[in-house]
Amino acid sequence: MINSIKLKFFVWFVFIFAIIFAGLGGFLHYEFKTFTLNQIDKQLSASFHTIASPIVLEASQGQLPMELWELAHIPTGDFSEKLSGHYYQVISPEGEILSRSPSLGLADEHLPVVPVSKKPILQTIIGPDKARVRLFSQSLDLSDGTIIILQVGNSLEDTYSMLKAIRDIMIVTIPAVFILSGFVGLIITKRALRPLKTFSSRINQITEENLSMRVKEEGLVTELSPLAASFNTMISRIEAAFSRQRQFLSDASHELRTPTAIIKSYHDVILNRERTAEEYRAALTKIGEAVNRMCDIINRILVISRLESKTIPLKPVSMDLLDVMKDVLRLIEPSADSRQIKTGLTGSHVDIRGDREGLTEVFTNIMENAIKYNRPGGGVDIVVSEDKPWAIVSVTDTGIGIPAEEIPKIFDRFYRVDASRGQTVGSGLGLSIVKAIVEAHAGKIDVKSAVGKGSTFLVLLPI
Amino acid sequence: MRILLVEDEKDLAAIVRQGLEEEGYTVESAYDGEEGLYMAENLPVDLIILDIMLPLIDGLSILKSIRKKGMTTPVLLLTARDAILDKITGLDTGADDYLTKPFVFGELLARVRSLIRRKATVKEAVIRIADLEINTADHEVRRGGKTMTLSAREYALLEYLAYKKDSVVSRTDIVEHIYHEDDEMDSNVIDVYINYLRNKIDKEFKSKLIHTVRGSGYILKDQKA
Repeated sequence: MINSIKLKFFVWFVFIFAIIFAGLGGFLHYEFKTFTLNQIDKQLSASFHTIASPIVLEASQGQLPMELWELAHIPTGDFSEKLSGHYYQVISPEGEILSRSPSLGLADEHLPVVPVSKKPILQTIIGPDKARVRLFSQSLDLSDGTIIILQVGNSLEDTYSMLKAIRDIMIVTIPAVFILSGFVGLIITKRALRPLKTFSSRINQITEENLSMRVKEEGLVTELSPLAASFNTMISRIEAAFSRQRQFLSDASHELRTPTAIIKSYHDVILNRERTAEEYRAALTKIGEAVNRMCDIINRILVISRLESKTIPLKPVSMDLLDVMKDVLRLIEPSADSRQIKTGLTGSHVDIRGDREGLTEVFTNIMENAIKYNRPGGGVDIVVSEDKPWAIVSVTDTGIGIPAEEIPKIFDRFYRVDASRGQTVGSGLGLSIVKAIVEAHAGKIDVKSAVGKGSTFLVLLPI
Repeated sequence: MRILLVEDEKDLAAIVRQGLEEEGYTVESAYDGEEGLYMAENLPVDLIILDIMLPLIDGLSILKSIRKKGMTTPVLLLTARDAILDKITGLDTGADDYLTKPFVFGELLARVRSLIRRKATVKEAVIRIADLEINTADHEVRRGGKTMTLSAREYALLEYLAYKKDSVVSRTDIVEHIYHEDDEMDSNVIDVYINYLRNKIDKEFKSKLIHTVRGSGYILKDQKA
């Protein structure tokens, strides 16, 4: 579930929106609070000077007591109403209250006392109405030599209730925004993933049976086009592999069908009535021959598939390629003699590492073909040479040759050059095995041929 | 009934031939496409069993060639490939039936009978003429509820006459359809076998079924009908 892109998008959306909104809210709240307090402080400073200037003026004329009395008794605006939130207070350096605004006096309250300071003291206190009050206090040096402290206070209740309202709004709106953003995220993801769904449904139409189908690229979003293209390339490779396998299976079953038909027919016909022991023996002999043929085909198929899947390890030993060719010549001499074909071996000693048995099979196979498709009295020439990093063996015959268009096919399994020439000897697997063994040695095999003149098989093996 | 078998696998050809001959058919064998084409064009046969993969000339080309000449001999294709496309191509080229190797021999025989019936006037496995019953599947011959024992050659002759019932069959027809091409033939041999058949089929019965048509040959016919 956590692997779902949709869910991940949902979580990410909610997470990111949460951070953005919480951050923004917190920032706004902080900024608002600082700004408002600054405003209040400025206002307090202004009020302080408004109140301070008549005091300073009256004191210079010796009218201080009168002024203090006026301050306490003559109502002036916001300061006159009881606990209005706007206060002032005049105290002596000893803390004696000399005068206070009617808003305090009527309630018989006073502001906390502060020490003498020529710089303004700004503090937030719990005021007379249990509410927070911003307090601005500063001492005044009067011309008659007395020092008084003037304090001006302003309730912060309005500010705090405003801040609380803002917080309340955020508490309600932020989760709503979370949920909304989550859903928006889901919808966006769903829309964004829709092309993927289309894509996957197109892919789903491709099965083992219709591998020739491709994912249509038109109508796909541009981002998915390369994916479709690479997917199609992959399907092509799979299709090719499948068709190779299918071809192999069909070829193999085709090869096995004829001997099976022979066995089946002997079985059906011979068992149909009573036979003499001689007839049974003859039938079993024929069945045995067909079985041998099947075994041979199956063994060769196994050898090829093992070589190709590299499940039979080669046993590499050091050997002289010229020696190997001498062995091969000894093996095929009888069949060469019976067709009056002269064989020749020239070249130098070339040492290579390889599987001796496998390489002997390679060259025996090539030599057998060179003899089988030769003209009576023809020849086969073997040359062993060296062209670093390769050891080269060329086998040239004076046979019937291979038409150019057939050459690429001769290494295919079950391919017989002369399917229409009356010769169907062999399993059609010989050259496939040759190629598989040479390739297992990291070698190469090449064929040059001229129809009617003969063919040259070149085997290149790494030294 | 004479069958041409064109099959390059000698062992398979030998056993198929043996199996068919034991069923009373006369089998001519060809082992490559050239021989097959020559025999198909020149031998009177009732059926051709034709392998597709043949040396020299492939089976489908032989089939195309004989159909082009207007020959309607039934052709049963034998092949080691079972791709649907091959079957379609084979049938469209003019084959009458198709059998994939390996096959059950009984099925081959059934298809052979069915193809031979298709050309004959008779469409059932059991041919009836008056109270004579010839079961072509198991070669049982009965008349008036009584089972007759016939030799393979006698049966082949009777079956041939039965497939051509109500029409005159010449001695040459008989030679060409129930004997091998290279058999040494004395023309009297046919008369001898007809006599054997008459002894077994007609002798004990009042109504005769095998009739001689002077100067032409023989006819198997229920005269009351």
